[in-house]
Amino acid sequence: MSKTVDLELNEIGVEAAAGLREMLKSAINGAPVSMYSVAEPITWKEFSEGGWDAIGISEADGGAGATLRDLVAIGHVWGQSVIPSPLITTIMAKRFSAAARAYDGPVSFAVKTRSSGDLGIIPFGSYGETKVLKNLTGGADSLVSTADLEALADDYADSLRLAEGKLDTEFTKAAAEELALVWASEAAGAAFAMLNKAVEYVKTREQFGQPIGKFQIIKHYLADAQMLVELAETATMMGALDEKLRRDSAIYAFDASIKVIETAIQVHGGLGFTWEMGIHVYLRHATALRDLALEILN
Amino acid sequence: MTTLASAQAGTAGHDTGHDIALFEAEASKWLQANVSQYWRENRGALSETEEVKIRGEWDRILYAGGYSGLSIPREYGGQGLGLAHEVAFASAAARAQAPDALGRIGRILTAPTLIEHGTQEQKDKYLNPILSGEHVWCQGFSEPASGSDLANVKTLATKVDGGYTVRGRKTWTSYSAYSHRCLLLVRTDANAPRYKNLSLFLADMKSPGISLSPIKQISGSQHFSETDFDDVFIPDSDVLGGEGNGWGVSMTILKNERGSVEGAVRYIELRADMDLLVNCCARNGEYKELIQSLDTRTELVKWQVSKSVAREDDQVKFFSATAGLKVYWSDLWKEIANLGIKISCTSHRAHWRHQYLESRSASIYSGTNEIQRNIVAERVLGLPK
Repeated sequence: MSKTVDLELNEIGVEAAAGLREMLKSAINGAPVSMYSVAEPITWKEFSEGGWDAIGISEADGGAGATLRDLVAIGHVWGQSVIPSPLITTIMAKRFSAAARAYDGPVSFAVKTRSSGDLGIIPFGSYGETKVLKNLTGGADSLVSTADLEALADDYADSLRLAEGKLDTEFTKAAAEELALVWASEAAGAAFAMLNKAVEYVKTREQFGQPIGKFQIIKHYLADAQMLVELAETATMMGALDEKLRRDSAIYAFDASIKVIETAIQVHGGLGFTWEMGIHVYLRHATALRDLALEILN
Repeated sequence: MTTLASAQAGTAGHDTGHDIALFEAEASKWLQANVSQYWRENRGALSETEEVKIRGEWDRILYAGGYSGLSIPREYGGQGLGLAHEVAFASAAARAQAPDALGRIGRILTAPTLIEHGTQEQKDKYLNPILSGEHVWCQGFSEPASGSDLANVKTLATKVDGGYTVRGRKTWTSYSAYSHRCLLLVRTDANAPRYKNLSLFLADMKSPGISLSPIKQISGSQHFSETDFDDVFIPDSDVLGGEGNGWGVSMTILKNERGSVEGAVRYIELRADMDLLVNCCARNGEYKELIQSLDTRTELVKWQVSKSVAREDDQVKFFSATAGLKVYWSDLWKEIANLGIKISCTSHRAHWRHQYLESRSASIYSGTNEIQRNIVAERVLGLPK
């Protein structure tokens, strides 16, 4: 059977995903997510000096020319550890904005959601020197400091260092959909990681004299979660390659991924709803990004 | 006095619909006058300390108003009414957005269990402070290695002169930091067979040797703790139902924890959340069909409880009506919160974030929903174990 579509990554995507995975792993060094999400395992300088933030810039604009398919793969790796650093928002900002490309520090967006009132939610708005893109309308873009937006930190998701400020970034449809899809891929990566964590747990946790993974209901929960993890990832690939399906793929991937993370909490029993176990860091990450994505897609 | 009280208690369960409607109307009026505006407006966004303070005060307000222990017989200090009144009060409380009593474990779990298994001395000593709101109780069942497999608890009580010394660790002890007493399930015989080796103690939380380590939950709240028992002395007079009968006593407790009164109380919280969705957050008629369905299913919690009350005299039908209640309300609450966090308005964002994260635990605590489904499958449907 011949291949109908090319799902493979470009060389830059393959290298970046593998390199990033390695870098994150060594920075985290086995620390629990509830600890490193309130620390800074990798500084912005390390990302910036390594050129990571320029990966999605087109070759014509002097970047590495990663495709959306490549960026989806990078988002998936990122979502598996959700370290608190503004790399993904900056990659996406630089992909679309000359003003973002001209700035060395982290860049993000402000998204007014139905629950944020007149303020926009800014991922990494309470992180160091983050600047916020005012508009992405194809014409002249400009950045604004979080201080000028009177941004105030919101502690819902440690891994996103949220803040709220007086801005609602204007997006083109294309930029909004690409950003939403990469965020959805972060959620899919988070789901993948939490499924693996759940699988490890149910193999070792014993009740009634046997690993709880031997109980059929646990098997079925995790089998369903496994299918959702697969489909969430496939949806982000589909969305990357088919522009018409991009919006709906992102929404599907978010919903499926969040369901998986919720299942991971359930099979961890009491430990699942402890702060220390850290599954909530992923759940908060994915639900916060879904809020933003749904808003920019509408 | 005793004669009159017993006579009134004897009428419980035979009230007419008219009586219940009158009672509910009166309770409604009383609730409107007594639930604080401050609580109604801020209940989703209060600090732990503030929440506990208001709920503790609510216990005393309920007692003063004559609404504490509705279905507890009068001879034990309750109101001598039936489950139908509990349901009617829960409906009225839901409309008034009343707080959940801080002394819930004492009222719903300890009190009926004391009545069923306690000595006269235990009833005299413990029931009144529970109903008056003076004593808050917690539940020392789960252990780090024994959650779903409750009969496997390892906390060991060794017989000494005049009582026992207890060593071990309990976990997920709700509101332990505010509790005076604990329903403590321990192993009193290291060698006796499963189910015959357990006893239920009424432990004083101020006893020397008890220490608490708070557990932070994913919502950020900290109302659970690990509770360590390091050679804690429990007098013989605080063994409930006799040594070796802990499993049977625990089953009474769990039946109440997962039963109709608990269901009626849960309805209050679900109804309040649904009202937020319907009256506020779901602007522009979005998710209309889903909200309609959630609303109907929320009302069904109350009706399911009412039906179970009507089946009270038929054990089989009663169990069929109540065995799945906990799965039903906890899964429904999660669904409500799933939508809430998605479509929250500005002023209820903190509330829905909290409810979304907090409701994840509802299908885990009080016996996981997987264990509950086993109970329905095996004990209601009679499927092979």
